[in-house]
Amino acid sequence: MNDFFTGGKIGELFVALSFACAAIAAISYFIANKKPGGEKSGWEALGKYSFLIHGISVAGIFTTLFVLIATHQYQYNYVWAHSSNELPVYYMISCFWEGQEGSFLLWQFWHSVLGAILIFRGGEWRNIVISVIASVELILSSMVLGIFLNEAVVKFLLAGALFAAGFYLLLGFRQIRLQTLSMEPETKNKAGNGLFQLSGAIFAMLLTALLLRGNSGFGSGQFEADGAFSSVAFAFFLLFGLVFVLLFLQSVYHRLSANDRLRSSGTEMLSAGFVLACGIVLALSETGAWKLGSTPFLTLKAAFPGNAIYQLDPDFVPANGSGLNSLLQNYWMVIHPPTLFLGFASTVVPFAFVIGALLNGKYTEWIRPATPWTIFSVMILGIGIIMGGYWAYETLNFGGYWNWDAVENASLVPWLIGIGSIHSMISFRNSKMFLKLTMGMVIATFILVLYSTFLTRSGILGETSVHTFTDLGLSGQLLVLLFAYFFSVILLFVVRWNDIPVISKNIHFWSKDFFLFAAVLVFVFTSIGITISTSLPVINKIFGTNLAAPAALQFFYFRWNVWFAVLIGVLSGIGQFLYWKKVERKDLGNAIFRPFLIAILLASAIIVLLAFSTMQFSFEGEYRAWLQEAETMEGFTGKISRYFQFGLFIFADEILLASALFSVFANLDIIIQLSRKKEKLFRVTGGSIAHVGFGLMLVGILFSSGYDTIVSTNFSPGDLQFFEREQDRKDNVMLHPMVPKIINGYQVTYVGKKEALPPVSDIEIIEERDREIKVRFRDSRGETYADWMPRDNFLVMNNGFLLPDTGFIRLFLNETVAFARPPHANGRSFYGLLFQTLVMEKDTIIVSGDPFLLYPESEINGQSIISHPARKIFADRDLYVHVSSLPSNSEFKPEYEEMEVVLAKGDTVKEGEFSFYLKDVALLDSNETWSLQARAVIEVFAGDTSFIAEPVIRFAKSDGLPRPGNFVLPQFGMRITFRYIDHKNKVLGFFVLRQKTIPEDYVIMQAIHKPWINFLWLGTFILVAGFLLAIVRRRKEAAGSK
Amino acid sequence: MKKMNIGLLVIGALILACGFTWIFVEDLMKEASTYSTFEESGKSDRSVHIVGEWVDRNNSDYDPEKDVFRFQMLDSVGGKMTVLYNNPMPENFEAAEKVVVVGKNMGEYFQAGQIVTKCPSKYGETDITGKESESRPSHPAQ
Repeated sequence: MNDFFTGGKIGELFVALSFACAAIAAISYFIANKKPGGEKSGWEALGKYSFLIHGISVAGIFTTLFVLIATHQYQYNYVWAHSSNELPVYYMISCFWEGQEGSFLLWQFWHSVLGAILIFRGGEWRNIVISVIASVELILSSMVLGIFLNEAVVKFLLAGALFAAGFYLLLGFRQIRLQTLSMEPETKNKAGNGLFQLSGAIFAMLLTALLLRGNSGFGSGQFEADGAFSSVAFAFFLLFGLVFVLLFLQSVYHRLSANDRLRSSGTEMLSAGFVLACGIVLALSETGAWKLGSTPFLTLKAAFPGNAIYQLDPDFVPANGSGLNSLLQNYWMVIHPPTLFLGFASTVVPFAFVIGALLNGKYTEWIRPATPWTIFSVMILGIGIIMGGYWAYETLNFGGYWNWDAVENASLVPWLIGIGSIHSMISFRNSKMFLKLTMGMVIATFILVLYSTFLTRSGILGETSVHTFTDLGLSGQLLVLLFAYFFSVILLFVVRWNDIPVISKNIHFWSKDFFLFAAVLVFVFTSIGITISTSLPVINKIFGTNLAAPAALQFFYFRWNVWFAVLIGVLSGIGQFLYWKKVERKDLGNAIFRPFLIAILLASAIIVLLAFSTMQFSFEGEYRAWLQEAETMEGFTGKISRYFQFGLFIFADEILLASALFSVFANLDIIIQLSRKKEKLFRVTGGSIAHVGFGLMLVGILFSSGYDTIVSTNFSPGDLQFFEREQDRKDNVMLHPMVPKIINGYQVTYVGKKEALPPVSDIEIIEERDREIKVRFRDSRGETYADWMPRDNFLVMNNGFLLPDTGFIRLFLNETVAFARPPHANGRSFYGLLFQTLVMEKDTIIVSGDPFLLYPESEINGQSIISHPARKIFADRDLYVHVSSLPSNSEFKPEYEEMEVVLAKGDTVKEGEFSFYLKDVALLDSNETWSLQARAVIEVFAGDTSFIAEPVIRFAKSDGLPRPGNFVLPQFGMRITFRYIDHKNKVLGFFVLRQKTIPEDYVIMQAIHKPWINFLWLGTFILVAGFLLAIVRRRKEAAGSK
Repeated sequence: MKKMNIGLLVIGALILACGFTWIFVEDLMKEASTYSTFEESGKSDRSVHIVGEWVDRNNSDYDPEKDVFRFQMLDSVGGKMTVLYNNPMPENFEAAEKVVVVGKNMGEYFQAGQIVTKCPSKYGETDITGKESESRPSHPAQ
C-alpha cells in the first residue's frame, strides 16, 4: 500500500472518478428531465454535482499528467513516449495532443467547460442537454480507462446491464398502467427513484474498485486488440438494424391504429427491450476479454513487459524520454489543437438541444437557445481548421495550406454541414419551414465529428494519411461511439417523425426560402463528395477494393468544388437581397445590378491583367490534355463531351472570380444599406459580413492555389516556357555558397548558415559525458542553441576554430563568446538566402527594391530531417522558399593546419599557398574597460583572390593583459587571431588556424509565388468578425425570449 | 412567378442528390488510383500507388542539373524498378520504413509524381533504455 499514492495511481483515481461521475450525471439529468413541472428534485442536484465533480476530475487527470511530464517521470509510458528532458516547459502542453489519450482528455476538458457553463446558465433545456453531454463524456472517459476486462467481469457488467434494462422495462410497463388509471403524476416515479439511485451508486463504486485493484489492468501478458469487425460487434450492429426496422414498422402500425397511449411510452419500452435483447445475445456469445480504453497512466513496464532490461533491473526507469515530435514544438501547434477540439466538442451542444427537443416533444422551442451555440461552434471549428492550414503553410514543406488529406477533410465536412445547419435554422426562424431539415443538419454535424474521430484514431487510414494517430486498438470502441449515437438518433427521429410540425407551403423560386434551401443543398452536396472521396479506405475495408486517392488529387477536388464555390457566391449575393429587401422578381434585377456590374468589371480587369502576366493557371496542363484527347478521339459523343468539358472548365476560374466578387460587393451593398437605415441595423449584418469574408477567402484561395508559380527555375523573367512532360519540369535549383544564381524574377545567393551571434548569455552545461559536453546558451538574437561539444576536439566559432583544453569550457563561461559546432540551434540549421528582385525593362534585367534575407530551416532529428520554409510577405503575394536535400556531413572529420605569422606594417609573409599583407594598423579609442584597442587590416591572398581580415586586440585596464581577438575568413576556412603587439620590434604577432578540408556545402532550393494569399487571411478575419456579430445578436434574442 | 410545393421540392432535391452522388462516384472511380505493383502498372496507362522499400541504395543519385532523383524500389510482391522523381530526395527517405510512390509505369522506368514516406513506428523496435537522448521520428498527431 505504500506506493499507492504515486502519480499514476492518483491519475487513475481521477480517471475512474470521472467515468463514474459521467455515468451518474447522465442518468440523473436524464431522469430530472423526465420529471414534470421542473420541481427541484434530488436528481438535478445529483446530476449537477456529479457533472461538476467529473469536470474537476478531468482537470485532475490533466494536472496529474502534466506534473508527471514536467517532473520527467519516465516510468510512465505516456511521459516516456511524448516528452524528453530537453523539452521546454511551454511546449509541454503539446504532449497532450501527440497521444490519443491526451487528445481524448482535451475533448473531455472542453465538454466539461461547456457543460459547466450550461449548468450555471440554467433554463428549461438544461437537464436534457447536460444529460446528452454527460453521455458523450461517459463514452470518452471509457476511452482512457485502460482496463482489461476478463470474461467474468464482462459477463458481470452485462448482468448489470440486464438488471438495469429489466428494471426500466418494468418502469415502462408501470407507466402504461398508471397512465391508464390516471394516477397523480407525482407518485408515479417515486417508487423507482430510490432503487435506481442506489443501483447507480453501487455500479459506480464497483467500477471504481475494479480500476484501483491492479496496475492498470494489463495483468498477465498479452491481450487482443479489439478488431473492429469481431463477431461480437457484428451481432451488436445487426441487432441495431433489426430494432430499427421493428421501430419503423411500429411507427407505421401506430399511424394506422389510433393507440396513442401505448405510443407515449413506446420509446422507453422498446429501448429497454432492445438493451435486453443485446444483453442476452452478448451474454450468450463468446465475449472473450475486452480491453476498454487506453490509460494515460500506463507504466512503461506494463507497456513493454517483454523487454530484456526488466530482467536485468526490474526497477529500471529510462533517463530520458523519446521526445515530442519537433513539428509539434511550434507556437501554432500549441493553440491549433485546443481550438479545433473546442470546435469539435461544441458541436455536441446544438445536438443535445435537438435530442432534447425530440425526447421532450418541444419541436420548435429548441432553435432559439440553440442558435448562438451553433454559430459559436461553427465559428470556432472554422478558426481551428484555418489555424491548421496556416500552420501547415508556415511549417511544412509542401508549399500550401490544404492538402485534401483525409483528416483535414474529415474536419472540414462537419464545418460545411454546420454552416448548412445555420442557414437552415435561419430559414425556419423566418418561415417555420424545413424544421426536420434543420434538425437533421444539426444531428449530422455531430455525427460527422464522431466519424471524423473514428477515421483519425482507428488506424483505418493507415498509410494514406500523415495525420493519423498510432492505432491503439480502440477501433471497436470508436465504432460503438459512432453507431450508438447514429442509430439512437435515427431511432428517435423515426419515432417522433409524425409529431414534428410540418408546414406545407408553396414557395416562389425567387424567394429567400428557396435560396436558403438551395444554400443548404450546396453544402450538403459538397460534403457528400468530399466524404466519399475521403472514405475510400473505409470503402476498401467494407467492399474489399483496392482504391487509392486520385493521383491528380488537387485537380479532382477543384473540378467538383469550383462549381459549388460558384454557386455559393451567386446564392449568397442574390440571396441577401431577397432576404433583406423582400423584393419581387422584377425589382431584383435593379437591386443586384450595381454589385453585379462592379463584379463583372473588376473580374474582367483582373482577367485582362492576368493574361499579360506570366502567371498561369495550375491546371492548364490538364486542360490541354483534354483538348488533345478531344482532337484525337474517335467517337462523336466522346469528342463532343471532351470539348464541352474543356470549354466548361477553361473559364471555370474566371467564373469563380466573378462569382466571389459578386458576393463580396452584393453583401457590402447590403451592409451599407442596412447601416444607413434609421434603426441602425448594423448589428444584424453578421451574416453579410461573413459572406464578404468568405468571398474574399475564395478570391485568395483561387489565386494563391490556382495561380501559384514556381520561380526557382533556371529561366530569366519574361521567358515563359510550358513543360509538355512532367519529367521536363525543373522546380529546384542548386546553390553553392556565395555564388549568385538567377531564377525567375530574382537573383538568389546562398550566403551560408546562420550562426550564433555574440555576445551570448545564459550559458549552461546541461549534460556531460566522457568525451563531450552539452552546452546551452542564448545568442544576442535571443535564439537558444544547445549542442554537444567534443571536449578534446575542435569547436567552430564564428566560422572560425578554437583549440580548447579540457578546462576550456569553464574558462570561457565567464566571457562572452559565441560558438556552435556546426551551427546548430537545438539541432536546427538556418540557411541564409539573399534575394534581390529583378524586373524586365525593355529587354534588360534590372534590379528592383532592396535585397532581403530569408532563412529556411532544416532540422536534424536523429535520423530524420525536417525542413521548414521561410517566407517573404509582400502585399500582393508571398514568396515561399524551402530547402531540401542537404549534404550529409556526418562522416566528415576536418583537418587543420596552423601558422604563426609575424608582420610589420607593409610586410608580406608567405605561408604555403597563402600570402599575408599587413595593410594597416589602427588604434581605437580606449574606454573604462580597455586601455588599448588596436585593429589590424590584413589582406590575405591565395592565387588571384584576396580577402580582407580585420582582427582586433584589446588590453584590459584591470590586469593589463591582452585579449586576442579573432577574425574569420570563411572563404579560406581560416581564422586569424591577433595575438600580441611587440612594441620593441614594431611587429604584430598573429596565429592562423585553417581548416584544410571543408565540408561540402550547398543547398537545393525551391521558391514559389503565392499570389494574393493575403486575401485568404483577411477574408478569414472578416468571416470570424461576421460570426461574432451574429452570436452577439442571437444571444440577445435568446436571452430576451426567456 | 410559379410557386413550388415544399414537399415536391424536397423530393426533387433528394432525386438530385442521388443523381449527383451517382455521377460523382462514377467520376471518382474513374479518377481513383489503385494500390498496385510494378508488374500490374505496366499493363495500363493509369496512375497508381505502389508501396515498397528503397533498395540498392548505392545505385541511386540526384542530378541537380536535371533536378531528377533516381532510385531503385522493391514492391510488395518482389518486383523491382528504377523510379525517377523530379525533385530532390524526399525528407526522411533514408530513415523511411516504407515508401509509397504515385505515378505511372513508363516501361523503362517508373515516373513518380509524388512520394510519401512512412517513418518507422515508435512502438516498433523501441529502445526504452535511451542510449541516444535525441528525439525519434513519429507521426505528428492532430
